[in-house]
Amino acid sequence: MARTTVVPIGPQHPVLVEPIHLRFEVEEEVVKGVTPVIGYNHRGIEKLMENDFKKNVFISERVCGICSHQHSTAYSQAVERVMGITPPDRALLIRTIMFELNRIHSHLLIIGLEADAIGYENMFMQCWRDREIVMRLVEMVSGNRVHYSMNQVGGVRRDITDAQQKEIEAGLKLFEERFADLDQIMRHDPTWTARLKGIGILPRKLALDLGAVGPVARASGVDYDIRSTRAHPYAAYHMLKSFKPVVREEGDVWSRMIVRMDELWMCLELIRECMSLMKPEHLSAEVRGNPNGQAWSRVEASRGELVYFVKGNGKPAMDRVKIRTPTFANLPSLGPMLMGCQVADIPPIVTAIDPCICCTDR
Amino acid sequence: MSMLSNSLKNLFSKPATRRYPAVPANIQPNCRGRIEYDMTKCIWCMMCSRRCPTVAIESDKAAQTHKVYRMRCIACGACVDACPTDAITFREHYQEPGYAPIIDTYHQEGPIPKPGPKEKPPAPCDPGEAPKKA
Amino acid sequence: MADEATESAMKAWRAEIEAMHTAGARFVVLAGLDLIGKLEIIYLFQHEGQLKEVKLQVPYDVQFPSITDLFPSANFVERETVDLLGAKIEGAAPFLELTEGSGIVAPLRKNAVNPRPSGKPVAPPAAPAAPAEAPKEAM
Repeated sequence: MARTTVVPIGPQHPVLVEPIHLRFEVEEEVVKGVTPVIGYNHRGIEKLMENDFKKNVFISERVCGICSHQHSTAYSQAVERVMGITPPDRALLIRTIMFELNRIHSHLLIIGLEADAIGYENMFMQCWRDREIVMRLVEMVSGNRVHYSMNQVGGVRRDITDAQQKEIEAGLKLFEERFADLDQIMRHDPTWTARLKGIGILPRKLALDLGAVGPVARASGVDYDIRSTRAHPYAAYHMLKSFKPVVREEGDVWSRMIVRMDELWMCLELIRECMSLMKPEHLSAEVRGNPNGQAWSRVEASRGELVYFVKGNGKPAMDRVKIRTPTFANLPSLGPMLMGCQVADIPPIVTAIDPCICCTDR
Repeated sequence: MSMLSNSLKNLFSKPATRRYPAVPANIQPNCRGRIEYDMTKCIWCMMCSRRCPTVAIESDKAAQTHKVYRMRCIACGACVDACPTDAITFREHYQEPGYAPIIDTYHQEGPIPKPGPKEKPPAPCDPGEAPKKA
Repeated sequence: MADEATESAMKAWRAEIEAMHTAGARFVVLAGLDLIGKLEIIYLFQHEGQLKEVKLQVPYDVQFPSITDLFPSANFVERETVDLLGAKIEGAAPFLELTEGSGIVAPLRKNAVNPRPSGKPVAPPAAPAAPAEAPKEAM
């Protein structure tokens, strides 16, 4: 006779990087039900953002450490839409270059963490060693390894000079050989494929119904990428011709990681194209007055679609800022993915949606 | 290259990490460490304390003193961008952790200098030069 | 509880939501705003590459139905609005973001005064907070 055991995982757990509580109902190693409980990292950022709209850029950056530039781009874009400001093209291209560098470091991080979740420490160390290349590049351009602080309302604050562009190009060349290794390992390594293929399957209909975004949705056959010009173009993506969304059909954990690997290759091409399009121009448009009105802004963060809503009423302080982060949209899909899996498969499945709980709880 | 050959190659090469603090840290030239004031240039417009998002600068015009609360400073550079006379600069060495709140006081001797003539707006960015204030 | 104007507004809103569902739009997100005395909820849909909004204004205490029967992806974000803004949505369970028993009620409202963990209420701070008190404040 099978009995149901309740296995609580988190908020403190060695395999979770951030505090989330998952209550599993387990019958002899097979998961029968899961309830997520979030809110451990709630900092009240939406309330904190009822503040001077220029200072909010720094607050929006600090919602998350991994996707920090993506948050500040979404916020600056939303305020620019309210105030009717168009940043110069050079500013948009610099924003896009930093955006894609942010994506490279974020995807390398999660590939490493996924390897760590299945116990493959060797690959974890390799990915994070390769990540140091991009951390050094962004420190050279922006001055910080994590919170780049490159965005301001109206444009960017620092320039990428010719000498820095040559360094970025050298870093991208180094990435090409490292990515070739990583690609070979992720497609053919026996440990990786045996452990990750066939688990955590999310069918296409459920991915659409439950509102999955980002690589989780694209691995299940849903072509939903904010960067494609079919949806809403933002930053410099309307100028770039080499972008194609990466979509796969299998819907399991392995295909989610392969989607991220293919996006890494795409990042290299996008950065190169951006650097080839840069011309000497101002870095920022003039900002006069206070925002009065409301606007939505969406960007494709590394984990999925990030939505910002801002409302100003003529004062320097914003009236309301609402943030919907991609992990918040992906959490309901965790339920069907985890049904019927073994307890030992819980860490790879949870890590494969790229959970960023500080983004979820804000 | 498979994981096995990768591992064998790593076994016989030097470590990928730096032995900090025995070896100095790999800090890039543009790194944001901490801000410093050049008090000969300050004209007491108070833009730095107004723009600071974390209320880390306390300026007292009567006493001609700026107090920087180091533990609140996030090195965002809003003050550096806002200063009209370039009195604030970034120094590369970052603020070390400490046991108590660290407050740096900058005092200006003598009378308040008058602001110079208004500068022309900066030209479109020339890619060959160092990053300019926009 | 709800008066005539609110009832007709809710019927019109519900009709628009059903039109979105029939057209095959994708639900993106909803944003709740606090206009003091009532709440404004803006639902955002994506249809054929265009963003479309559906708005609803309700007084604080009026219950309105959830849209998860048509759009199941709205569940979490409705529960968050119930927690943080005190909206009364039928079928959306509270305590997603807040903890039960903490005494914190609708913190995102403009006039929210919430107890600190010690249980004593604290007035909203006068701006700007003096830096000398900074290490003791819990941000």
